[in-house]
Amino acid sequence: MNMLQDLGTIAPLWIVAIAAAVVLLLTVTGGKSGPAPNTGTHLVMVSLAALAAAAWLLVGHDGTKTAFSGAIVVDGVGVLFGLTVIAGAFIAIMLAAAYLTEHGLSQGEYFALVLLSTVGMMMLAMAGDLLTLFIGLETMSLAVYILAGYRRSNRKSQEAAFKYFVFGAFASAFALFGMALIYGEVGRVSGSPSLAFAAIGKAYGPGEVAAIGWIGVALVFGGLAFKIAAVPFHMWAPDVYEGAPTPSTGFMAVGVKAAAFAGLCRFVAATMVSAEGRTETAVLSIEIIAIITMVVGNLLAVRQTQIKRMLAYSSVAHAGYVLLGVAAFVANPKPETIQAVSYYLFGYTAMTLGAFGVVLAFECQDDRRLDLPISRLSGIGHRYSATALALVVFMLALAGIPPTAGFFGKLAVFSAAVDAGRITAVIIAVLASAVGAFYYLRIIVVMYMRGSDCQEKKVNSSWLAAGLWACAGLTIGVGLLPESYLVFAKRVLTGWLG
Amino acid sequence: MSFFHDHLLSAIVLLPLVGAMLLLAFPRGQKSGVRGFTIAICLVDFALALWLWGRFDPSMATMQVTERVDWIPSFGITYSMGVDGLTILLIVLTTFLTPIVVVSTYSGVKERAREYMVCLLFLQSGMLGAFVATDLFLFYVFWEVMLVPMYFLIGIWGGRERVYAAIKFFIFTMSGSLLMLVAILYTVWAVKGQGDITFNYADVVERLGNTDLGNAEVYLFLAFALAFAIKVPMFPFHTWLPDAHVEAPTGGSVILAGVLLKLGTFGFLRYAMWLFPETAAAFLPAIGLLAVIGIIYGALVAMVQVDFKRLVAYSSVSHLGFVMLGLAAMTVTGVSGGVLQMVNHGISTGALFLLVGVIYERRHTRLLDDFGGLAKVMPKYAMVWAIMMLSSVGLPGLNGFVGEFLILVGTFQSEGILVATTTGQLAWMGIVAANVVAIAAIIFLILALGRQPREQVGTPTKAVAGIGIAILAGALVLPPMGSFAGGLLIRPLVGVTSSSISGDGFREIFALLAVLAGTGVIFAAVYLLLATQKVFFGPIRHKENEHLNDLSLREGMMLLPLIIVAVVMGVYPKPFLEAVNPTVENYAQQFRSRAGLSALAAKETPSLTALAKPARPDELVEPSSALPMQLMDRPGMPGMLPARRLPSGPIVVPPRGEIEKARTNPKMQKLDAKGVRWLKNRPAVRGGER
Repeated sequence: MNMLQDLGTIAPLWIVAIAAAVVLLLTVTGGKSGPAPNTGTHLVMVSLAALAAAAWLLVGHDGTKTAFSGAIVVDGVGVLFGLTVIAGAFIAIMLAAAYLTEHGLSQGEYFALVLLSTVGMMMLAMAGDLLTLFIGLETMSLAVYILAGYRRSNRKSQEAAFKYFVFGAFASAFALFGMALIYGEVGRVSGSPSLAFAAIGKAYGPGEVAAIGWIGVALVFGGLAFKIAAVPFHMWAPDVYEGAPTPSTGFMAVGVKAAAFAGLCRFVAATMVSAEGRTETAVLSIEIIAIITMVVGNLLAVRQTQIKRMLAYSSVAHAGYVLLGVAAFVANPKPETIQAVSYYLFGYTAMTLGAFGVVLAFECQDDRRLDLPISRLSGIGHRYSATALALVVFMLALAGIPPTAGFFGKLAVFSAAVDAGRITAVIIAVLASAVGAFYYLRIIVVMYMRGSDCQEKKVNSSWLAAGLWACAGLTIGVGLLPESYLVFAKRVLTGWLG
Repeated sequence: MSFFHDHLLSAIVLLPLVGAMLLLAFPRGQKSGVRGFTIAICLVDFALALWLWGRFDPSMATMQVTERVDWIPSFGITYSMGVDGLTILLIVLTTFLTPIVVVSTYSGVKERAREYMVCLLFLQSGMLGAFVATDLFLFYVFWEVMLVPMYFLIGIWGGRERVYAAIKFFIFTMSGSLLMLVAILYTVWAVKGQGDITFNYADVVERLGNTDLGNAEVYLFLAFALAFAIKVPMFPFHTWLPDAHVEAPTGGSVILAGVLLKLGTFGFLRYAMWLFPETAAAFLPAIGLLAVIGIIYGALVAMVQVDFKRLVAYSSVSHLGFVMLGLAAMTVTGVSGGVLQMVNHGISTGALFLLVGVIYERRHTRLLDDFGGLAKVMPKYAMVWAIMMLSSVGLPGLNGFVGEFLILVGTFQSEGILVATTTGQLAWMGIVAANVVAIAAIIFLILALGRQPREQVGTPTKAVAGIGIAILAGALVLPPMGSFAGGLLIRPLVGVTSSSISGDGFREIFALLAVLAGTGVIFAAVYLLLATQKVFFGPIRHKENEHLNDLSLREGMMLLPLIIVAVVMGVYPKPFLEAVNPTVENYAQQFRSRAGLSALAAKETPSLTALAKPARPDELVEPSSALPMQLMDRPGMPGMLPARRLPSGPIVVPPRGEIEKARTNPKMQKLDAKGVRWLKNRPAVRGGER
């Protein structure tokens, strides 16, 4: 009976996992004749339907529920970030449907991997202890490693997957080591070693934790910072973003980041927020990382000539803005801050995937190509006005121009930081985003203002069109009318943090 | 209809946006359809704006035609709009200029007309929204949204260095406004302690009144001021402007100079100064100084330009310096002049950019040296240029004079400079200043004509010169001729002095600033007349110029409204001043009381209406004696003395007792506290002044 209840609580997880299995089975059993049984609308439909069902369950969620003796916690953070990663996976699958068809790659395996990775992400967002967090992290990562190398025949894709895997394994090992240290320290302080966030919070609260315990915290933080590509753990991002197939890159940029941030929020809430006397140091450390991340990300993005590399650095910069929100949360632990952070990532998901979608639309014509030189966008503004207009919307949103989700997200996160009294950091952040505006605008410049001869051909796919429309609609819709999201977030976050 | 009536502002703001959306759905290549549709939208919007002006009650010094709907309640963000005397004219100006710009694109924009119109309409929505928004968030949204279409206008349809100019424009303005965003957030969170969070302008102002921000106020003010100073642009933040202007297409330049820059000056009034009056007051002399530096610097740089458009662009820096100076003076006269000058500059400089565009389309060059003797081949063009150029110089009888004169007088008055001078001296100063301009203008015109052999002076040249000389001579001769009448005109204009103004240390500064700014007027005459001479007079040095077509009917139709408005505003500025004045009066009074500055000279204010309507001796109101009647006539409006409201015929000056009686009059009870206070503290009645 208890088991059934637990299963009911984690229904979003297993629905998606089963869908992954179904998609794989359909791939295997599908074709008697013909070489491409692993492609088809039905595969996309099954995947999307499972994601939609999971999302529906999460939206209807009420109150905090735990499963498997607290290993999984479906609460505000779990619901909000879970919905964000589902949205990311949903759009990424639509984009992938176009991409894979164009390159003649197998769809079934790809969708299954996306779905499995989504399960890992949700698990990460709903982790009740460090062990679940780690399992989620690895489930997510392993699938994404493969997605990064999905263009098996392409050396750059291989390189990307390999690089990501080696660095990622390294980061996971450090995180695991940190968890061990925390485990031991919790045991020393409270008498019974534990990995549960509740127990960690109790142990770290009174300020009796020794330095070794904080080293553990730093290591886990580093492991998660690797996933969100915060400086100095960002080195892999440009190469992997460039080498991975574009839908994978998009999925990686939004899903992995959102899930890792969910884990990070839970982790800092357990360790730093409740710790007496250490909070200011913790806030300052996160803030410094955040500032370095946004400054470095923005400055390096300016110099890029390949659009995916540019978006990679841009995603680094955005990790910095969100980290500022995390710092604000540690300084002034309020559900509103989590609300702001999750809103930011939700909007970021829509606009980033949209941007990658447009890249995908023009990149596919050359089969050997994995990235798109920015100069190749020249003139598409006049040739493909709707697609170009969509890219304008995404670029303006990334730059933080109203009335897009990018603007309101920045406003919400910066508000939280101002509320927490981190004015200096906010000023640096806005100046960094002024730098950011420069390279986003350059894309628009190239599309509209440099010559009008356009040799690029666009991928024609209704999935791609639907994906881009969805992204543009979300970017503007959520930006213009954020109230319903905020109300929903407020409702599910009620009672979070006690 | 009632719904429409209640949401008139929304309709005005959103109509262009809806139009832009519909245009996106237009098929390609429908150039004339696209233009016709855009003009229709713009004209409807203009009509709505005129309707708004009709509905606008100037005597209400507060926000009116307001709308307020909750937008993002979680953040206390409201969709609220309102219009007052500061904005009403700017709204009309904005909607007035856009149809003209659309007409100007018939020859200038050959490619991608549809996209151009979409940008233009988007831009119009953004500008109008920024003017009427009464919510900090909403304002910021419109403020930023505006950047995007302007960026496209410069970047796609601009000149050779358009991309550089577009990006510079965008990044400059955005960096400033991002800091303003931080300041907005800080302010909102600082006043959050008094209830729920709110971005609503009125609520924030109210709460700021009883919040002590401490040292932060200085930084907050500076953050707002920086954003607006970049937009104005004030020296030394002006470097983006010449680039943007020169590279922008004609229509973009017109909108940029005509409206966009006004958002900076408007922002100072509405936000930077009004939210943080105490700090703002401390910075007023500094702003005034920067403004004057801008006036002189802009003029001097304009003088040495070889590019026609760049010259006009630098003249904008100079002219907006005047506006800022008027605001910095923070006298009713100065601020009114500033607001009026915003409109004037929109008309004159907008027209100048259009005119530069006209010859650029014919010759594809803007270098002054490539022209010469144009008055012979393009007499109509030369005439229009002469009129608008003189309006920009500030020639009496045209619109520019009114604003600049009020600004100079207002600045001069600031902080009681009047203590040191008598009314008569001031009047003469004003006359002298006006005449110096006129003399300079005449000298240059004569120089220009004198350089060419007599037989080459064609009839058109003579006509242009004749008109110019006639206007100038009128300006020169009239005031001294009726020195008595002139004195009467000027005396109420600058107000009768009060001897009780306490010195704030500002007085010498502002007197000096006014004098320096006065030289800016002369410089303006110099550079514009020099350019006129180079382009229009002398021999035709280039063969290409011998067969240029004169203004076409379309171009004439496009320029005619601007000329009419320039003349009307110069000759009969009363309706414009009346719309602005009560709000400004209220603004300046309240600003001073909130900032702890000395109160305004009580009788300074009658001036404006007097300027609007040259007073005949029998109409001239002796301010002190007529006051009680005025107050009864218009409760809550002390100091507002519209001569037309008085009964005709000789005015019966009530004896002192009457004033006391008037105070107990039931009508008088309605007076707001301020009015009564004013009445009590009013300076001693000074009789026998006439």
